[in-house]
Amino acid sequence: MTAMAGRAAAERSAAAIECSGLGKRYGRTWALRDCTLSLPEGRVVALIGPNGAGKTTFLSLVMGLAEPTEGTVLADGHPAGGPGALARVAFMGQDHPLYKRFTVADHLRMGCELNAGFDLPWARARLADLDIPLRRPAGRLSGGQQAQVALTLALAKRARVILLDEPVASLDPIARREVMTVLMTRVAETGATVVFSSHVVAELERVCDYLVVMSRTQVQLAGAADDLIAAHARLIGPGGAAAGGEGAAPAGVAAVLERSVSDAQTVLLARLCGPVADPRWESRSVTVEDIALAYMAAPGVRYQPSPRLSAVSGSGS
Amino acid sequence: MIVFYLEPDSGVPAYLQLVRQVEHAIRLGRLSAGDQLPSVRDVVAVLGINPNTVAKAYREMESRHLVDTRQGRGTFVADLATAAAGPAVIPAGLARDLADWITRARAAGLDRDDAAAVFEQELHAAYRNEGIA
Amino acid sequence: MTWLVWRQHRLEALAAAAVAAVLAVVVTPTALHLYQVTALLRQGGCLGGSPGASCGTAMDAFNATSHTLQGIVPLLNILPGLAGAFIGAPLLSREYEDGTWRLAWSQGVTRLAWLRGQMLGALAVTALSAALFTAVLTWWLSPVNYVNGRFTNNGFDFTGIVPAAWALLAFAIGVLAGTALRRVVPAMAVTLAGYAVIRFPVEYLLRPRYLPPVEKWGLPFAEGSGIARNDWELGLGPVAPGGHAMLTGAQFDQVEHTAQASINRATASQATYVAELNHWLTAHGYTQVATYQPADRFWTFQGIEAAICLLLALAALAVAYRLVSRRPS
Repeated sequence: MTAMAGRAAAERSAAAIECSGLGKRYGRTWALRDCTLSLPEGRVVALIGPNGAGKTTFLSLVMGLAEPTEGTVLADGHPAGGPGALARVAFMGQDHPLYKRFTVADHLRMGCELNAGFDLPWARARLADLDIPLRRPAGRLSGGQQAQVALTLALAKRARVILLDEPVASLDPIARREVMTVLMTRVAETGATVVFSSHVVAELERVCDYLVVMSRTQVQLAGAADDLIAAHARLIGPGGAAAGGEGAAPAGVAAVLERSVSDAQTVLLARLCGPVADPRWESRSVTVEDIALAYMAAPGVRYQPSPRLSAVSGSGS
Repeated sequence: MIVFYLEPDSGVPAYLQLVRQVEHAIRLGRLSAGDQLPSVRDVVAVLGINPNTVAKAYREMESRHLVDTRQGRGTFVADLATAAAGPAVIPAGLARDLADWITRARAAGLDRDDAAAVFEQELHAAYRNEGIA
Repeated sequence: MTWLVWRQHRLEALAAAAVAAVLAVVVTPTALHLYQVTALLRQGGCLGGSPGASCGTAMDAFNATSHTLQGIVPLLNILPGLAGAFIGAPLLSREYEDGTWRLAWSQGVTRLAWLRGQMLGALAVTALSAALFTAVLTWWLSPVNYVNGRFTNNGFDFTGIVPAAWALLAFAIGVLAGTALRRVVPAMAVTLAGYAVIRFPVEYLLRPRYLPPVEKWGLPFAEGSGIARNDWELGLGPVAPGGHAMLTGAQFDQVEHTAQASINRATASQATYVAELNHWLTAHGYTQVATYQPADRFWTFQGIEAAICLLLALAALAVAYRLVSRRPS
């Protein structure tokens, strides 16, 4: 239960990742712009967006694999890429790269050599559970096994912040489930913050409790899953002329993300700013997946309550 | 010890599914006062879900007085849980009233789905201000 | 870090050691033969001023082998280039190509500390491989160097510190090419090309000029240059009166033709003819000059060439280091 206690404490919200005005340009092309985010500690953050939205760039900047063109980024309170941050942040790159000629045991040894707090017994036990032979070269493991080895390396680092770039994109459903289970179990054990990127939203609800949606190199939506669920609803109301024409929505709606209208009824997916009292409209709750998909389909709509709040209230505690 | 499961397509949030499973088990007598619940880590290792979800479920169970968390030892079914598990004793007349209603619905030509839609709508309207039902 | 670097580069190190061992085995018969012949030459005093009677056959035997070597040995100049292509070029390009740079740079050591470890480790492997090859080749070629002097190209290229210096330069070119191109095979090709582009001008244009050559003036039509066996002869030829440039063959033929007008070629023996020709040429202000680098400059030249290589290598590594630290993506 210590992890639970730690988690409760974490929810008082020091920032695991804090970036301000962060931007990265490659040549003349911006890969990430104007990114101001404060991701609270102890969360599992899903970073969702289509390919090219800037997810990998964001994670690279937090890990210090890339240098920002503008702005700053702190990981667990330390400047990204510096010695302090390197000891506290773990990363698994897209397609989980490994040294093909290294055996699994060689990778573990490398982890020990390069990381002060490397949890070798845990890593060994983990790989033994998964029946991954330690003496086999990484190049001869299956894709799922390679992902597990790469994940084990990242998790055994005992980092405070764990960044995973498309951790399950190349995996079959069973390997996906295994990878996510290992990840979630480790999070339960260590209370670390996880940020993982994905271009698919399936099964998001199971694992993430904080959502960041990116589109066109910018952050479009960021917030705790519970807050977002509370702030959004699917509204079912009168259709056709009775709806009051195009663009009509009941009082209490801040923004309409999706709208389908027929003669019979109108269905909205909307962000609310207050209760919908109009008795003609029925309000139904939505899932994180619904919200993520709705924002991805409406890239012009932005909603990012948390960083502005924390900017106003300073430490945000 | 209770074994949790999840129904992804139920439309019920995962944490609430866990709460309901404990409630249900207590009601059915499968869990009794003092029984230990699995740790957050163990639930996560089985279900592969976000540990915060499990922690949230346990907090919700605590606030409903279903369980007690004893610092450093674990989470246990509360002493009063059996008695306090909500309206554990459902008034006998309620089910009979509903059965009557269903009979009338069938007589009126509603099939199963029609009846369910009416029931859902009324349920929704009645509980609409109490958050996720 | 040391373990990691060794683990990553041990294959190259072991391959280099294996190739050196094979080379040692291959050259052993020639080496033993050359040592034998050279011992005979030395015993017969064949290399001094008054060769003994047995020197003819011994010298023939020596020349036969040594001529074959003249053709083969220069090919071994590719060895430093190969070190650059196989150790230097993949050092970073393989990390980029396989994506493992993301794995390496997300560990608990800073990117620059990692880079320094990689560079120093691979440099050590390169230097040790070069030392191993130099040892084998020096042993093999030392009879030839004993006779011809080690200031010849074949002697200079495979003795002392110069081979290792070239290997380090090629390594640095490889690292830079790999960093810039991020692809293994193109980086290897560019490394070999870059090595050749630097190597040929340095060896053929710069090396003879590290220090101003010594000039030795003598009779215009002398048989030999008059410089020692171990000196490095750069040029030998007649010089016109008051001039400094050597005459070309055609120019000298013309001069000799003019001189012949006053020498009775028909009556003179060869010796008399040469003496009279020299007399005539000297009287008309012609001389002969031999330009050379004295044998005792050998280590100075080794030092200068090694310094050039190492400075260029340092510059290349510095650029690569900067590229890695400044251009991550």
